[in-house]
Amino acid sequence: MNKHTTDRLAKIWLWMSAVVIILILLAVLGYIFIKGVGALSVSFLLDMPQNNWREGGIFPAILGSLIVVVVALSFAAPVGVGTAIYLTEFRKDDWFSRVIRTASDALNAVPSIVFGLFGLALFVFYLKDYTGGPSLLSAGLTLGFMVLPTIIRTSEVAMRGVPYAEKMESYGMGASKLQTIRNIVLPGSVPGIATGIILSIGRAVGETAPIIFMVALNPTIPSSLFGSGNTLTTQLYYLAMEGISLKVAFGTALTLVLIILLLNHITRVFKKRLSRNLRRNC
Amino acid sequence: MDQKNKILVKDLNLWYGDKQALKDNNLNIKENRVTALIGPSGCGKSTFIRCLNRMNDLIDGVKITGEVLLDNKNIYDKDIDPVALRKRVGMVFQRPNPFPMSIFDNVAYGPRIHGIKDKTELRRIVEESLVGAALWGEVSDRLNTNALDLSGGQQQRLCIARTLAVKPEVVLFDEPCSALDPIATGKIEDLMQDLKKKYTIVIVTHNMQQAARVSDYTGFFLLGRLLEFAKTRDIFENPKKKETEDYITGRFG
Ligand SMILES: Nc1ncnc2c1ncn2[C@@H]1O[C@H](COP(=O)(O)OP(=O)(O)OP(=O)(O)O)[C@@H](O)[C@H]1O
Ligand SMILES: [Mg+2]
Repeated sequence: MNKHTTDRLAKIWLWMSAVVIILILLAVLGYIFIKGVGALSVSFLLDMPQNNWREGGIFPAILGSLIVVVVALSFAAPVGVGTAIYLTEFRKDDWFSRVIRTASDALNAVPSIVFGLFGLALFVFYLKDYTGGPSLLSAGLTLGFMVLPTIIRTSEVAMRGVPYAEKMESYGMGASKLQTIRNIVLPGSVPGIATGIILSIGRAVGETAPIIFMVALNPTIPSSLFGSGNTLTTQLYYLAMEGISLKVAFGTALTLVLIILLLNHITRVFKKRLSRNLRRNC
Repeated sequence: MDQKNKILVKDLNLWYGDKQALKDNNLNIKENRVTALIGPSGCGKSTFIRCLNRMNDLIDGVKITGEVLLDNKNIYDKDIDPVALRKRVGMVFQRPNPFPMSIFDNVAYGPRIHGIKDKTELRRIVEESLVGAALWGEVSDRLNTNALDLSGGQQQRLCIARTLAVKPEVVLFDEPCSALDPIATGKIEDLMQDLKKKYTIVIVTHNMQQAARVSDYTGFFLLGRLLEFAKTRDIFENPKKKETEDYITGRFG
């Protein structure tokens, strides 16, 4: 085969892969769109379910998803950003920071159902008196554990991107370590930290396995953090598994997909802004 | 008339890990004078001036012995807070590194850190510092634009203004002109003559003409040792050591 033919064959192969990807994407999204769009409406999002989900809306699940995400991030964002500050500014590369990094990477590789089992043991059984057992709080904290490594990693990368020289200038003017962190390191890494947080929101919204033991199908507005509730993913699982209403299941799926697509879009905007910032600092 | 000693360095040694970078250095720096430090690359000039405001504390594995007396008080004493010390002994780095904020916020950074919140007071300090750094005329109408949009020479004067805003007593310059063109360099050299009326100045430079032009005293470093130290005119016209002569006449190496 001469060079020309190999070139052509390679091009065809690349072109076909691109086409296959697009087809798969269109098939999945298109299928969910077609099946779900009939159910979707403003009242579908804002109404209570009626008649065992066969009518009405999915408001409790939307509210439940929102609550578990807020709980997860209220735990994971401060702890994750704090750990990242500690790793970049206080412990350079000693054994302790290596232990934390390894632990965080290991945590990231744990299958999500295992997080679920762990959350069941810790929050639902062991800490029952504080979490209310299988509650939205337990679910949110479990998701918080799950997204912690993502937040640590992205925040650490962002903080390491803040130029060393800028920190030295700050110290040179008589700023303390905490002042330098607050005024130079944190503002300089906001786009990166925000990207990590949005990625984590996407993961927390989209996961079912970690919270399947804590969140059941529940048609009411959650009474409190310590009470039971349901989320978009768990509702989808139960509605489809138990054959309650495929139409609402697809409506829920479409809602979920739209939320994730929106979050992805926001992440991309932040990433773009991040790379622009880095270029300015060269 | 002899000038008061602002900084006295006594038997200063410094190690990076187990590699010794400064050896038995003794030196006095006179108040309201410009002291230049020259010497070949890697001889320890930057390391030396970083000892004068304890910036070396921020580098892992540094060990220091000896004394640095600022107004007769050893800055390495246990009761000295390096953060407070750096307010008195400011530093301008080799490359200008404005923070990615407005010109105003850059200059106000130090005063804010040190607790000044009043708007009019901050505005006064920012103007005074920019005037002091000979930059006011060029930026007075765009204080709220991003400092990164300034030219290299303007950025370096901004960094000088930022250091002046903290109201230090001593200003350390580590090769402040090495990234600048001759015109910007000239501006900063002129500035030194003004600054020394209010501050004590130490400048590291690779440029012999610059040392000769701006400084009152000159120290020649070689391999971590201050080999010769004298009035600038004496060093350049009448060096005592062969190495010094070789270096300033360009026959070094
Ligand atoms: N952070 C550091 N860690 C380890 N060694 C260092 C560090 N900084 C400087 N050194 C070493 O100490 C010696 C003196 O370096 P220094 O930067 O003080 O020299 P210099 O005279 O300022 O050189 P130049 O003119 O190139 O700026 C060099 O051998 C250098 O490699
Ligand atoms: Mg140097």
